Amino acid sequence: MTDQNDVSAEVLENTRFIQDVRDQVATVVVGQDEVVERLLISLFTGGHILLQGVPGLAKTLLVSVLSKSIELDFSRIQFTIDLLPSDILGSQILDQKSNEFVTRTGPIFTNLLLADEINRAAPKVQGALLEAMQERKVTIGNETLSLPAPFLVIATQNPVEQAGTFELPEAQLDRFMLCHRLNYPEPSEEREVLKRNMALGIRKEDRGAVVNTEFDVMQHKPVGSSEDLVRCMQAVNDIHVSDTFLEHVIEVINRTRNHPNIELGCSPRGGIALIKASRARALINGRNYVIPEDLFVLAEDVILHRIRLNYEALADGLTGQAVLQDMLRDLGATPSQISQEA
Amino acid sequence: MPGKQKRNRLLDLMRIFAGLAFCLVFTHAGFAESQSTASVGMSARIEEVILPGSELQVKEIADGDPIILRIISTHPHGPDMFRYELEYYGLQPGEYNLADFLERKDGTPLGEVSAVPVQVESILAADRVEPNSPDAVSIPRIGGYRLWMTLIFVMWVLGIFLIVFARRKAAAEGEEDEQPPPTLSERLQPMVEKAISGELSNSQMAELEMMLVAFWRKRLHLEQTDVAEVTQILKQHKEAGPLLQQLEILLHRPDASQEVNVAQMLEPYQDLPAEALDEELAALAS
Repeated sequence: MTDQNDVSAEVLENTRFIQDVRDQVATVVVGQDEVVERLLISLFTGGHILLQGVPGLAKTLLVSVLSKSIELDFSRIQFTIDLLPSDILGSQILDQKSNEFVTRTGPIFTNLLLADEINRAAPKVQGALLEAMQERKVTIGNETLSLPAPFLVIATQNPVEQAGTFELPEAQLDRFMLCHRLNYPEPSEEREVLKRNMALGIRKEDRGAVVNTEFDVMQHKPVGSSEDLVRCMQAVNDIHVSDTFLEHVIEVINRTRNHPNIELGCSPRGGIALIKASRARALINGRNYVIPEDLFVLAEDVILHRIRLNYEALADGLTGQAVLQDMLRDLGATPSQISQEA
Repeated sequence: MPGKQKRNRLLDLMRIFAGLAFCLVFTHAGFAESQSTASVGMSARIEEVILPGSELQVKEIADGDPIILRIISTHPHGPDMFRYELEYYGLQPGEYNLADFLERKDGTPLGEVSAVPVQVESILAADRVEPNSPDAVSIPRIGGYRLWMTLIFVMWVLGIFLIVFARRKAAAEGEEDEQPPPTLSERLQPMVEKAISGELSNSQMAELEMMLVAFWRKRLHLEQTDVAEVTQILKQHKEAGPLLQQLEILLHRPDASQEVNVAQMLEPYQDLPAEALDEELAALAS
């Protein structure tokens, strides 16, 4: 009985923490509930996330306010063509006093790393970052350093302007647990954004004045701590996954590999990510078990960047999103491939 | 001096006549003396053969002719005469008159024509045996190139007909054998029966859950709606909502306090006619 009460208390605590974070973010960023949910899923599962969207959708602001809400370190790197791996990872410099090399760590040593426009950097830099994402370790000179925990990369990619960019290969895209496509705000949200922006005002600085930004009005009061985060991460790990849900995941993954329009199907890492993300979503929605709805809601974010359409599908003008939607609609409507094979 | 002049002119005429007569006699004598000779199979030419009368041509060659004659060139030679250049091949040894192988071009009789003798000699020894003429043999009826080509063409055409016919037959048989895929209602009913009797495996239970979602998606015309939104809509529906809730308790929720009566839950889908959903959709569409 005591255990049951403890579990309920823990669930309540987690729910309150999640809601507080959402509320704190909402004070600065209008709308974008879906992105906030995806960021929390990434945070609770330790999976990296790639955000695809045009500039000006408050991505940086969102990550910044999220880090401040949970008292996490935050760094931002603007990826450019002339960026070097040492600019991210760090390097060894000669200390003239001691005449010895000392390690100076780069901005990657943080909890939340915003890799802005990741596809603008050369593959060598992308490779260095993605290796660090996978291993959560960085080697500078002869020294191997562990990255702080939690370590989460939030990379952004502008899907419109492709001139002078280096497309992320499938193997590197697979490293991202989620790939979320940001949409423009609704007209009502847009109205609220404009109103808030007009109310920002100015502040005196030295002998002049500067216009306030959202960053200036952001509250620095954290609503949770790293203990709350760890508790949520543990709670995600305890979320029940039924055998039936596992069968659903296997069926979806299997269908991507046998679909006539898909050349490259989903990797096993995709299946793992689907379960992890579904568990986190269940927690965020106050459940201690996953349901098919979690799978359907997260399928695009988890699967779409892991599959590649074949030439015939592209020639027919099909998109990955349309093919995936059709495939998900076929679940149940057409016989299961697994039972057919059996 | 008129008498002397007359005598001189007469003497001149006599000299010219004597010269011409000498030339004619000498030429004829010389020609008669130089009779053309050739060996069997070798060609020989005779030039400056002057023959009187209209123009001559070579007779049509007949089997067994010992001489093959050709007229190389013909030139007029004074009134009613022609000068010929002749070429001949002797096929059998002997003496021949080339005039025997000529005829008038205008079809008139040959008449009196001086002989053009030639001699064909054999250089082979007299006891040499002549080769026999080959016997005529009959051509075999089968084995000819044309026959084979015709046979191959006929077989090729037959082969094409057989292939086309066989394919059409196979396609027709396939069409006869091919049955329409089972409808969702048809697939749902046996699964429901098994679920009630507790015979479904985990993967089959998962499929049944998705079939029920697909069934309601079809029934509520949500085929084109985003799948993420479909479950939200179904949850709100008065019939589909409780079904999903019970499936959630049955299949996904750990240590659920309330029991789910599977038979009661699946009762509406137990006696579903095979075409029920399709008829319902057709009625809605019309």
